[in-house]
Amino acid sequence: MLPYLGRRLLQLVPTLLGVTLVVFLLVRVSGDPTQLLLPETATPEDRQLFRSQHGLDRPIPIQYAEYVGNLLRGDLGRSLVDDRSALDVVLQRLPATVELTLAAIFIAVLVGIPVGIVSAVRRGSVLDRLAMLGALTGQSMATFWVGILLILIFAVQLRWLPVSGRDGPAHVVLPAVTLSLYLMPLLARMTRSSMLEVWRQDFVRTARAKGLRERTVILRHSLRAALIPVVTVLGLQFGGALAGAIVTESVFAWPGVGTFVLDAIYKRDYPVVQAAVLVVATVYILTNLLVDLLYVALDPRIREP
Amino acid sequence: MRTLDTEVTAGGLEPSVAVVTVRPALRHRAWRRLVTDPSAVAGALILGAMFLAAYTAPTIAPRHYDEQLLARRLRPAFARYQGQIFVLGTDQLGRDVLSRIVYGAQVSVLVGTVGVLSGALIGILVGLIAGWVEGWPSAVLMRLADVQLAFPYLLLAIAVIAVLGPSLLNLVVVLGLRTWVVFARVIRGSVLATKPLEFVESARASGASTCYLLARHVLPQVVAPITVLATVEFANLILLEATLSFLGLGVQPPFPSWGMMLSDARAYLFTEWQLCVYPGVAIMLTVLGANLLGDGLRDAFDPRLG
Repeated sequence: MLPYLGRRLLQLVPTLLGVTLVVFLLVRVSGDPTQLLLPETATPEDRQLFRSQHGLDRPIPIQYAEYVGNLLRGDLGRSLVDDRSALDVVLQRLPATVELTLAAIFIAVLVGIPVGIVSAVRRGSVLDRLAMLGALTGQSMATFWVGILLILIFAVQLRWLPVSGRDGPAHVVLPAVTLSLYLMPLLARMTRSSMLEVWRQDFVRTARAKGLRERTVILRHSLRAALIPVVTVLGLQFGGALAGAIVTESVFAWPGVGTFVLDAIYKRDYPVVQAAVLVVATVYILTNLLVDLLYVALDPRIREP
Repeated sequence: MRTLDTEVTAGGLEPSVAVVTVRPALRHRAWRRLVTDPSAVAGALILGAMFLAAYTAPTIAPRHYDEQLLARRLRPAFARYQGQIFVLGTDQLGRDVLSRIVYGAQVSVLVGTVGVLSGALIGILVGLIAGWVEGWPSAVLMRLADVQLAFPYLLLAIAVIAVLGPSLLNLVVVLGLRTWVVFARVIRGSVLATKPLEFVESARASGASTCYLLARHVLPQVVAPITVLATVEFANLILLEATLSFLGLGVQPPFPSWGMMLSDARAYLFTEWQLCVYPGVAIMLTVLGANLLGDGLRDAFDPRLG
């Protein structure tokens, strides 16, 4: 396990460097960074001063090296709007986004996996067909549109739940359900096909041949093996859900990283945009690592290269 | 009876990539399975209708997409105004909603098609090179793919468009760049799997050029996964385009896109909720069509997965 962990951590370095390079180039590719980083009213003298102050007049590779050096010290630049540390303001918003994402994953798992199991058990039945058509339809709906529809039904028409904001448990329901509808179909379909795959294997046949109850075969023997690929997909989708949270947040005015990034984009506050992209990408990469380790713990066969 | 001769090769492959070898006679069977699958046919019909709507929009749309008249603003479905009928009503500027949805199909279809085609082209080239040429080019290309996959793509797209400025061209470029990775990985896997096979070796020994080998022996192996990928990616790109347009980072007004229409309609959620429904249904139907067709294609090429 340890050599595997070491190798994985080592592989992380080029990926993270690549991510920083992309984020660094984001502002540079558009030409003169002072156009983006300074307000439009800035004079040429202001721009020149800004350039020499921030080392923008030096060669790009040196600038990048400095950028990475600053990153390692936790310095991601300062917000152009209120001069606060870009990293601090992003980290301040992160818990709300993580809360929303975790709530959504919880709902998706709670509904998606049982639906997948039932669909697999009743393969070919009307129930299975309906569930799978429902999953495909859910997968085909734009997240933000689902959010709008849910607001329309549960907040505007029925008045059961609040429209927006983050002010207690009731507020998280609609955004979390919205975001979960992005994951749920995937989980249901994945669980179903994974269960069907597992049932073809010998150990399940043996369990059945031993005369175990079907319930035990399904829950005790097949589910664990079937859930391995499901866990992987769930982990891979965590990042997708984080990104989906940006849109969901904007529909529900949820005060997370998403609304914050969009706000920063409209205000052209690029250091904050860069910091947010970097933080979310890092969380995403670390989650994927965690999922891989979990995967190895569940299935020891993978440890060997 | 197994109707499709599938050969899943694992040697030297990334775990997620399986190569399905389809012989010509069996490809015919796959085609027959596809056209007898009702949901795949339904998907193809929906997609066909969307492409047709996009192509013939100027002819079939009842009115121009930007024909404004405040006197008839925010009318419900089947409203009449001066003897004219507005099937899906009018929006906040008195524009015909049906016409805007028909024109909006152009953006979705264009972005989806160009995005998939450019992504597939780049991906196939990169995959062929990375699989055939050993050594550092392959490693660099695949690390590049890893880095791109390390990003939540929506976030990257938002950041890039925010910096470059929103326009149809930027949208197509950013979305096209999304897909190449998926194609490159599949192609590379299949090249790696095919290269050591005997018939390729003997063709090479008898003096066949690299181009001939790739075109004659490698590419036919990946027709099935590429077709499936293309439909699935088409669906994903349309959803992404709608999302970016919803956030104001897509096609710019007055030209309509479904995402933008929904964004505009949000302001009237409490009074004119129907405006929030139609564009969303259009998105859902198009994406559902692509997904149904994609599922059907996968089942047709490899029935064991159903």
